[in-house]
Amino acid sequence: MAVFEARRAGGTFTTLLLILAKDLRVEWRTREIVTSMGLPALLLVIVLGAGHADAASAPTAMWVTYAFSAALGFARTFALERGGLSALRLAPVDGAAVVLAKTASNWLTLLIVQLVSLPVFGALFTEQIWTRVGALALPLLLGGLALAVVGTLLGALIMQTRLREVLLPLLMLPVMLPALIAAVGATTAILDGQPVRAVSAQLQLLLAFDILFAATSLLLFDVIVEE
Amino acid sequence: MAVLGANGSGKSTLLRIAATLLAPTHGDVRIFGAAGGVPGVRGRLGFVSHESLLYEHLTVYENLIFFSGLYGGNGRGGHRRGGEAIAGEIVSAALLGRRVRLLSRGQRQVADLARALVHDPDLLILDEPFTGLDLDAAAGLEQLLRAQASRGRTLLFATHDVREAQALADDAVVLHQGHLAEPVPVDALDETRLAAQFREARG
Amino acid sequence: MRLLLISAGLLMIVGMTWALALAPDEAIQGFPQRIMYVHVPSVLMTYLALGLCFVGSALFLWRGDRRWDRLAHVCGELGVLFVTMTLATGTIWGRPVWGTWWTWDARLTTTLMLWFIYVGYLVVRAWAPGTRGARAAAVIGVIGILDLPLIHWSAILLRTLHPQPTVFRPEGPALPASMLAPLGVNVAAFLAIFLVLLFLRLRQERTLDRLVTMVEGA
Repeated sequence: MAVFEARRAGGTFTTLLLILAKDLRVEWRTREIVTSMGLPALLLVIVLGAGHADAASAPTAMWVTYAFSAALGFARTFALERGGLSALRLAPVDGAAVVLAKTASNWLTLLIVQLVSLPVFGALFTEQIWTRVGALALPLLLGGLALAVVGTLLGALIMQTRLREVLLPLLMLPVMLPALIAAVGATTAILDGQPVRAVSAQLQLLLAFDILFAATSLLLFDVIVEE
Repeated sequence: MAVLGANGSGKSTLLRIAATLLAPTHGDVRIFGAAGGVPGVRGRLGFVSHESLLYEHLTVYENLIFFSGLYGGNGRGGHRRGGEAIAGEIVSAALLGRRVRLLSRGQRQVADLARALVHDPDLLILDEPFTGLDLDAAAGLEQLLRAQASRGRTLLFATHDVREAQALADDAVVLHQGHLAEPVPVDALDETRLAAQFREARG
Repeated sequence: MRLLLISAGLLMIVGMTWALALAPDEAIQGFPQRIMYVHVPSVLMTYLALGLCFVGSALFLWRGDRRWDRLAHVCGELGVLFVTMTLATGTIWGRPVWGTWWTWDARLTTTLMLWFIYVGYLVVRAWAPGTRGARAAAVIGVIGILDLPLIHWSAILLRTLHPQPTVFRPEGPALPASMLAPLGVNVAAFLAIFLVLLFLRLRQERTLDRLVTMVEGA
């Protein structure tokens, strides 16, 4: 017989870490993420780099690649949940923990794609990407977070809809537009040599975007995970 | 208690409502005297669906540890001990280290049962647990379930097979197109009684 | 209802004639400027439709009452209709006057994104039927409006070419009265048509819902 008395789940943070660890372990085992996110990303970089590839076209190429990888990949991460999150909903866990964990695992996956593609972008477009990588960190992180928050929100929403892999890009991209504009703007300026404080307007927009949609996700989480 | 009904009568829906996965469109649900969805309620329920709720790419052991953690066994290695205790009882050692997607249907059901029991629930809900099982696996599962029942756990399961109901349940209730008849003791189920039950359910 | 239809028809006839034939020519732009009489009402109806969709969606998520969902659904459809008209009339107006079909200024970009978001709204409703789909779409209906200021902000970060507002300004309209009047008539006409469509579709949806409940109950 089970040895513990507690019937309530551990705190939100503990649950979050637990689910996050599980998600990352599952993704690692299947390596599906490599094919559904990594390969399209690589393909896009190369195709975009085959055309006119320089410092001017790099920012757009980078963010188009990240946006599409996110849109394609996040549809898959929800498919890895059996029975549409039923198992998680059965447990006496805080819904917020589930949403935060999913967002975090999606963000980390995207971060890996960003990191892995960075050298390729550098090689094909402009070496400034490598030299300015420190300054680029902030827009990459905030923009990546934006993609993760919106992608998780919408991905969970349409989890049981048919053709969700097609639907997710359609839904995500118009909503993402302001964040993408800000991210591309910031990336362009930084690659141009400007310091980080010159792009504070764009970074503020990204931060506002992240906060707004994170708050929306948390507020609407029971709609999102419900059957 | 067995819920008997033909396919499409709404057995799955009823069970999912009981498991707090679905909200009813009319009326409300009380489980252990409280409204569904209250965290205390969920901690006392276990649910086995006819599709596996385990993560295919993890091993049985990893699944059990995870679910044990979800139900509050964290900290001080509690979830490991709890998960391992259940695991040891129900799942054979050989199965523990296997990835779920490599298990047969019968083995998966047993693993799912372990998952549902990892937090020692008072009520175990099963949706057509014997579907797709061969005779051996079905007999094994039946034995496990009887053992659980004799420990004082309440079992609520759905089936369309009267014999399954008679083998395992004390009481049965008939569900027809969404309407429930009165519960009866399972020995009282026979041809004529069954027909009467269906008529009653139809209203 | 019939009264509404008749008044809509009359208003449209009066409004359009006035706009096309009787209203004065604008000094700089000439004849194409008359598209304003269709463009501005379309814009206003878009705001109305999408605003109502937001309200309906939010209330449906909060209360769960099907009536709010029906309102949101119908307004989503009307919203897409009027956004399409706004974009179409806008581009047609832009070509002779600005020399270009399109430009990425704040207003245009926002409107285009709205089009995509609300088409997405309708797609989700179509591909995920039932309550689950209705709630998912409602979330999108809410997100669309929440995103609006951000879209606007980001587009301003790019550039601005769209004419500054000439009607809805704090100092009062800058249009002469001879143009304001026909504009007002056309806005009223569009509003009447909006209401006709709204009530028609709402009635249809209500009947459909009742039919479905009857069939399911049997």
